[in-house]
Amino acid sequence: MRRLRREAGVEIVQAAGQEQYIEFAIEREQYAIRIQDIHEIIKIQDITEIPNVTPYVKGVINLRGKIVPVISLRRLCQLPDKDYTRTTRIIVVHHQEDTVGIIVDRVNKVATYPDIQPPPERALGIDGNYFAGIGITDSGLVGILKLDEVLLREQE
Amino acid sequence: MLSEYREVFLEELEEQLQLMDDVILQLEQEDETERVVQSLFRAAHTLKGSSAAMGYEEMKQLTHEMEHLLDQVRRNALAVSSALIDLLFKSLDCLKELKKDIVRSDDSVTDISGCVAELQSFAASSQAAGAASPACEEQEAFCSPELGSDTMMKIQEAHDSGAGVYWIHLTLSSECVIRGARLYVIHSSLCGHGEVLLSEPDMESLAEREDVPLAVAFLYTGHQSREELREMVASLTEVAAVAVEPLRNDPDTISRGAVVQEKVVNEDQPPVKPAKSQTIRVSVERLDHLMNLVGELVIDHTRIHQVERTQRSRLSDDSVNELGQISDHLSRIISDLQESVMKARMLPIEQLFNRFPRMIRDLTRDLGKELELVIEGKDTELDRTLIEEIADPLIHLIRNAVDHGIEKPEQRMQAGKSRKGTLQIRAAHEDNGVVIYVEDDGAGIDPARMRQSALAKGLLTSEEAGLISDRDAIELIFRPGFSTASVVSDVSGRGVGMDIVRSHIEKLNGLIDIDTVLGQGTRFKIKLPLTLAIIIGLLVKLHEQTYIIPMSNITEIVRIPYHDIQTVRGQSVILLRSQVIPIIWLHDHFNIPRSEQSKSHIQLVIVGSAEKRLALAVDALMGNQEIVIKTLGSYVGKVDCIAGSTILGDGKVALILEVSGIINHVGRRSAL
Repeated sequence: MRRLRREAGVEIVQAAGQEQYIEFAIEREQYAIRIQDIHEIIKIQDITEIPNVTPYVKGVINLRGKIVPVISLRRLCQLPDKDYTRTTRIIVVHHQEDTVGIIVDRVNKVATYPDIQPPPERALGIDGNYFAGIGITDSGLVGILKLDEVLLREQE
Repeated sequence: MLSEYREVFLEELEEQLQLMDDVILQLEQEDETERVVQSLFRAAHTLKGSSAAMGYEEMKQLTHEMEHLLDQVRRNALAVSSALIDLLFKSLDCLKELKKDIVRSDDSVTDISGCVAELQSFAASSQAAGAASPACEEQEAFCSPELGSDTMMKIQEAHDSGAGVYWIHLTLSSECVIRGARLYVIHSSLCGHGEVLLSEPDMESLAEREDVPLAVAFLYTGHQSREELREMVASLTEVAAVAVEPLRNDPDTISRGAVVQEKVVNEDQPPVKPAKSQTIRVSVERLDHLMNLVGELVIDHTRIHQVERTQRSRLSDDSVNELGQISDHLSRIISDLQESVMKARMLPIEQLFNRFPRMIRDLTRDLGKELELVIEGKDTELDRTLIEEIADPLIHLIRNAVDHGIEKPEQRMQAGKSRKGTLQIRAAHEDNGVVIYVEDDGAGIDPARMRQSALAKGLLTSEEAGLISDRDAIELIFRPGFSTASVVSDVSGRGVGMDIVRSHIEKLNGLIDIDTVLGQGTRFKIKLPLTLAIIIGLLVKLHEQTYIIPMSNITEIVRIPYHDIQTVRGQSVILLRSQVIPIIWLHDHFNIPRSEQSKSHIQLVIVGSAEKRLALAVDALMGNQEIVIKTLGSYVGKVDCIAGSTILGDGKVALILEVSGIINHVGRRSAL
């Protein structure tokens, strides 16, 4: 239930309905992913590192017999690594043919954003292309991730 | 419907083409040609019939000409000559092209007119030469047939079982347009009710006849009464008249009623095919899926086994014992299941080997060499994907052997060998895999020439060339960009030779070894696993992570004291049975800390193949187990030195090392 309108070359996203997002955080920054892109959210697992791959690919996990790569959003955002805590989660998303896990510091809630603004060129320290929009809430701004971009970058 | 027939037709076609291939080769070798020509003639004839029935006009035309030509050979109106054999091979290639067209469902794009014309002119020229060779097919057509012994036996059987045997004479209505097809329909509907022992004219020959007769006779056996049979046949479409006569019991007086003219094309009874074992076709995807499921089972079972072990160390009561028993039983079932599924995917390597005789023949002709090909172990079975994958490397090896290995006859005579070279291709099961040998008794590989060539190509410095052993020099053959042939022939040697062969084989978790004696010959040994999906792996520890080395890549495992490590130009090496093997710490490459040298010994896993052996330094050996190869997925993509991953008993993911990748990596590094 989303309408896309092009205005002066800028993509403006309007939340026409009540699209649901999973809101999560890294440090104090808040991000969100559309709920239908998410396969499941699991606790942190044993990650087998793969040598000589892009740094933000942390490795692979065994998700019920399936080998799933996991990436670190921290590293993607060029934030320093931090030890995993009780709240650390892996958000498993489906992206095209692949299943990919994204490590986040904590998962907050399911949210809807009535007010979504187009992303600035650079936001929250990373490339604005990563965002589909910025959700405005009482508790602050939420970067809504554009999975196509976030996951595409790795393959370059 | 049609596509079903097409499948059957293609299968038959494949069979007959292979047969022709073999037979023409025999024709070339044997003095006793009569039988061979006969079977070739029969094959051409069969194809002519079936292609005509399927409406493949070009194929019919071509096989018709072949048949015509062969008929003359059969009658000794034409002698078997090398020109004839070449022509036959050419026609065969043409048929193969036609087959490809059919497979692609193209409307034939292959031009056969040239081939047909050649066949015709060949036949014509021979006719002119052999002037009086009057016996042509048409004259033969009127000779009286006899019921073959097969038919007699069947008649006897039918009598014994109480069934009636009848001659059915039927006449098609004159409006019937496609008589051949109509007769086929009638024939098959009769077959539905009983058995047709004989038909006049022969159903096989019907399709090729322009003038399908209206009147036909079938020798039929079934449990119907004469009257029932008559009504049944009469009710069929486009049947104008029908008469049913019981066959008289006395074999001597069996008469078919002089109703139909008939034509016997085959003088011999076609050989009775042995009863085929019952089979069904299963798509490869289904088998792959089955294999995947078995893979999951293997993984889960390893996990159960692990749980059992941890439980046993913690508590010892009956329930743990029971778990152990169940786990053991499960393991037996799973390995049986795995074997069965694997077997279902296996094919005899014959499929591949059958291509070689023809290839060798062409090669030896082009190169002016004489060669005897010995093939052994055709029935060795291996996974169908492996057969496909190994084809190119094998063909390359064989081409090389013929091109570079086997000398010209004169040279061989000078060297005191027989004129004819021998090339042996052998396959056999060995341990838990398959080995294929390609062995020639040719010139062997000269290490001195290898050194020179490597020098000339800049692969070695003159200093290095002086240092390396003969064995290493020979193994230079596997270096990228190496080709000793001074003249690049079209047969082999485009400079992309043996290194590709090697990396291809290693990709299949196989090994290739070379053994050569100057002046006596060269032997390549290829070792392959039975299957690709499940392999035996050695679990090793590097720092804190477990890695897996495919067992098939491992030649040996040694434990040596640290002080045995020597250094050659900055590279750590060990001397193992007088072979210098470089030691590789994957730790460095993987950016993980090397194990501390507190221990007095170092554990080395020797991997690789003839050309390059490497000693991988590992921190600990964890034992070996069956592992299921899983890819890392397209997201991660191809990672250097990693072949894939698997799930261990404890549920963790372990990476499988790619030995060929490591060897290449080391090669690149040392090249810098």
